[in-house]
Amino acid sequence: MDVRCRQVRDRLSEYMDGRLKEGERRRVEEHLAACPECRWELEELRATVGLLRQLPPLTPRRSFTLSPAVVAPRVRLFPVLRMASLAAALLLLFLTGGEYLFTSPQRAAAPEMESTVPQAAPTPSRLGAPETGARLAPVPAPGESKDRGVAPSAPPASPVAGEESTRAVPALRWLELFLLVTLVFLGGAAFWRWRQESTPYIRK
Amino acid sequence: MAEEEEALIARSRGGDVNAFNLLVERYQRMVYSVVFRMLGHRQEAEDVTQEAFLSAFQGVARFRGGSFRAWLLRIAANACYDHLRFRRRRPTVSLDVLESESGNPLPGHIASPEEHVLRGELARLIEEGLGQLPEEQRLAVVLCDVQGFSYEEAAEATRSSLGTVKSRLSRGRARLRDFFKEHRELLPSLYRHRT
Ligand SMILES: [Zn+2]
Repeated sequence: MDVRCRQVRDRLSEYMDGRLKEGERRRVEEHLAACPECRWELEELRATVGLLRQLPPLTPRRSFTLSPAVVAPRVRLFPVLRMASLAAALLLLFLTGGEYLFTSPQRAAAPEMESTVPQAAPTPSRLGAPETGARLAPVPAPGESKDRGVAPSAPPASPVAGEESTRAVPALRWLELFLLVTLVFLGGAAFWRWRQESTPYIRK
Repeated sequence: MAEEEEALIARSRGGDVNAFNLLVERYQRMVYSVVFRMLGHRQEAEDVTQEAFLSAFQGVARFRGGSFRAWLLRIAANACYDHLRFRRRRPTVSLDVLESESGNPLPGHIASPEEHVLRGELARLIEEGLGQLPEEQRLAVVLCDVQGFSYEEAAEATRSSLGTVKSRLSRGRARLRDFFKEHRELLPSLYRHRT
């Protein structure tokens, strides 16, 4: 097949749909007038499309209307979870930030205190770093800590006046851990809901 | 009718499932036909069509005007692609189970005049030919040649450019022509002229 024929045949589909621009259409027609092979090709293509057009629309065996029960609006948990995650995140930020600002000079001045209160050891900037988990090893498993995380905040309830600031540190640690776990949980739950609620097949 | 459709879409956005169901009734034959010709399997086509309408209802707030049927078909086509991907991973449906719906009218199925035109072996053969096309070419051919969509609407329904639609359609048609030539003994006269 010569090059010209090949070019024309690539255009035949558009040509038969009347979608070629004027100049191109004329070139195709000139070639067709001179080339019986390409003319035959066009006829076959027309016959192919003619067959396809005769395929009837199908009648499904059932209707696809939706029952109101299937599409009943679900409780929109996602916004609630999202706001809760945001609140927990802000509180966590506030606590770690506050602790960093107000307690670190004091702790730097009195390093011996840290040895008596091991939980107070991690510097605030390391919170969330991998070793945080190791330092807090005696803590209950993440699943439980959600429920029990509040309990250790009890110690500051009966503080000896002078020790208050050092006692507050482990309590803060517990609270931070609790918030971190809550945050992960809420974030995970919100993501899960979001995946559930975003409908498939509608893509941007 | 277009205005009425807009009203139905607006009510569907507000969660009115009855309004949406009127749209379902209007388009379900078309959507089902396209899905069936993409999948070649009746039960699967029903499931995927149902899923597509459910997705469409849940996402109707994201419909931004234009052709509603093209938007519906886009959802249906995505559902088909997902299903075909799923089928490739778990090939429980072998090709010889693929049914021809036009070839096997159901009891109680009332054939329209055009269904008398094309039935049995011939429709079966055409559907078999469609089944051999690559998925994207198949979709272009089904939309433009079987359903009679314009290039523009087909582009909207497949989220592709006009040029992509043109080339998929052109290649799909050429492949089908070759397929029909191989089976010319079953086809109307044109394909028998030359041996
Ligand atoms: Zn030629």
